[in-house]
Amino acid sequence: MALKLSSSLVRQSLSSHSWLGLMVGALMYAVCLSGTLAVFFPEFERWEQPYADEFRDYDPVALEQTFNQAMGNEVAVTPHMYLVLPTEEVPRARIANENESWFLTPGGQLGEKENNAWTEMLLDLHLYLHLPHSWGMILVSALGAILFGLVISGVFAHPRMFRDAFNLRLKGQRLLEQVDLHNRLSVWALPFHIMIGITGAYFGLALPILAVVSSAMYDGDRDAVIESVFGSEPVLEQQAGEFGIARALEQMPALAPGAEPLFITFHDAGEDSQQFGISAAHPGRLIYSENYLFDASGTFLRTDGFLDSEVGRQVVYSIYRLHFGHFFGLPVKIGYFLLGLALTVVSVTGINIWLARRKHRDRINDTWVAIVWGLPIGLVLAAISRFGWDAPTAGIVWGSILAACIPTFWLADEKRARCWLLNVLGATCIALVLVQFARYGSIVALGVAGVVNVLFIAFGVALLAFNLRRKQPALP
Amino acid sequence: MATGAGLLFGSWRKRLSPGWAWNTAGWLTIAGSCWSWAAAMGVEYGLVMTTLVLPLAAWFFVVTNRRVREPKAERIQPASLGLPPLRSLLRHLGLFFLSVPLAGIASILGTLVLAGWLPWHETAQLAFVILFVPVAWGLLAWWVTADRRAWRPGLTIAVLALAAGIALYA
Repeated sequence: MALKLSSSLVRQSLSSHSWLGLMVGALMYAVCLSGTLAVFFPEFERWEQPYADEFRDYDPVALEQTFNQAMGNEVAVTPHMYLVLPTEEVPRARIANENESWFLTPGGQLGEKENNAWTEMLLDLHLYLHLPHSWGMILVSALGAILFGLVISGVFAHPRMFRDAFNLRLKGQRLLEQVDLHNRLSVWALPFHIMIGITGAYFGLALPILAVVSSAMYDGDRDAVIESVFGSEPVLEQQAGEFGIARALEQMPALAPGAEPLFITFHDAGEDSQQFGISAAHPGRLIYSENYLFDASGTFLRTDGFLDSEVGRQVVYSIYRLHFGHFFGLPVKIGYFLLGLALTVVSVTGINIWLARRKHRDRINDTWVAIVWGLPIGLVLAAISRFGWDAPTAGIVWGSILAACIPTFWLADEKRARCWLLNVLGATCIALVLVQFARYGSIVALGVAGVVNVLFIAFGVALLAFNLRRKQPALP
Repeated sequence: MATGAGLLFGSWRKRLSPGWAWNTAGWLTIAGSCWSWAAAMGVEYGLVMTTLVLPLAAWFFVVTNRRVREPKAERIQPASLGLPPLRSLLRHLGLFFLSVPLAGIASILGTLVLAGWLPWHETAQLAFVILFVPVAWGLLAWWVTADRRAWRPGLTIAVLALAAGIALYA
């Protein structure tokens, strides 16, 4: 089965695919690798602070007392305040303002300050490539659009797409091996890759689109555009006093049977117009949540109406879960991880194909090996730095890529350099677990932290064993 | 889903004949599996699960069909890294300008105009803009980089952006 395409279209699409791929290859790789890991960011947050209390059942009255007491005392008041409730995915409760966050104990008392510096750094890499947020986000979103261009040009560049769909030639000629890996992984995951590109583009393009829509259609009123999609806050007066959180939470089973309250957002805390909304996830729905709005005393006002609103609002409010795979629990997360990993490999093999076609090698080959293996090494080193010295900086990640250039340039041989860097990656994964153990003790072997650490050790040992089993190339 | 992928594998690898019948059966099985998921879990989850599970099932057959060959010693000449000629640099810079910022602006403006023509609720129009902009941008980037005469898509995109800008702001 082959698509009948003109040879000129195939040739030009191939040229387009190569050009677009080379333009974004390295950045796409960084975004895909960090995004693949970011699927598990709630688990990484739990791994990063293994000692935080985990519980599902809570006393709404105790939460209310602690929140009202902490606000303005231990916790500085900002225009929006949050009370994050324990859920099945993250069974931890937190009080947060717009800048900081504190865990709560099972008794509802204020606990330790949250510190997810490494996970935040990982998300920053995925969302902004560690650039200033305003234009880093636009750049990453542009990658989503270019990914769509790559998918389309790739389809038209490959008329034997279906006939070859089950072929995989490993080893042999390097070019053929890379082409087969690239095509097999990309063809079958094509709908997923289109979905990831389009939903990913939303996060950064929303602001420029909002600017154009508001200036062209809403007389420059951005709030009106936002309210048309995400709903507006009720206009309230004389709401001073403490928040009636317990009263509101007790109404939730009747208001939203079967829904899981995720967090409470407090608006205008401490002012006459203060109010709050409980965001609750509804099973079987992709929308992030339905928001149940209450006045300060806990009297139910209305919902934002996402559950049964127009399709457009539901689509926009579903993009987050659809992009990050945060629905239907662990099986979907594992699926997203595997397909994200496939896209990461597609990014790498795309550049590998271009390099193999050149029939010569230069510093670009060495730099590419340093980027591909320096980035994961940098992420692990940043985690070691986080647990060792509370300093997971983005600089460590990018510095590791630069440092990886030293062996790759010195060896001037991709196979040897890759082998060397794989050993470093394996060793750093094992070292990471040891450093975390040295800091927190045996608790790192329990719960989610234990699972993550076992996976790190297994990955590290597998890399080292894989390298040992291979015929080691001699050093120059 | 695995059965559907297996039937496609059998027909495309010519292990099942007649190929067209098994091919059709494969796609029908995949569609049926998607439908049963949608019936059991809702349309949203059903579609997403199909998107997730079909590649995993297909990759299983790809791996079982792998052929491991003897590694070939390839002679690759080392070369020194040099800057490309100025003309080539300028061409690539031009392609970047046309395929990224210009195509991006044109796709946002053009999609907004297009959305205004749709007889939908305004939030549905906004959702269309959000989802269609990356599609339009990707298609324009493909055209810019595929056309041997880049001025053709370049000029068309510039005119499109200008016309859409006038339609929106005039």
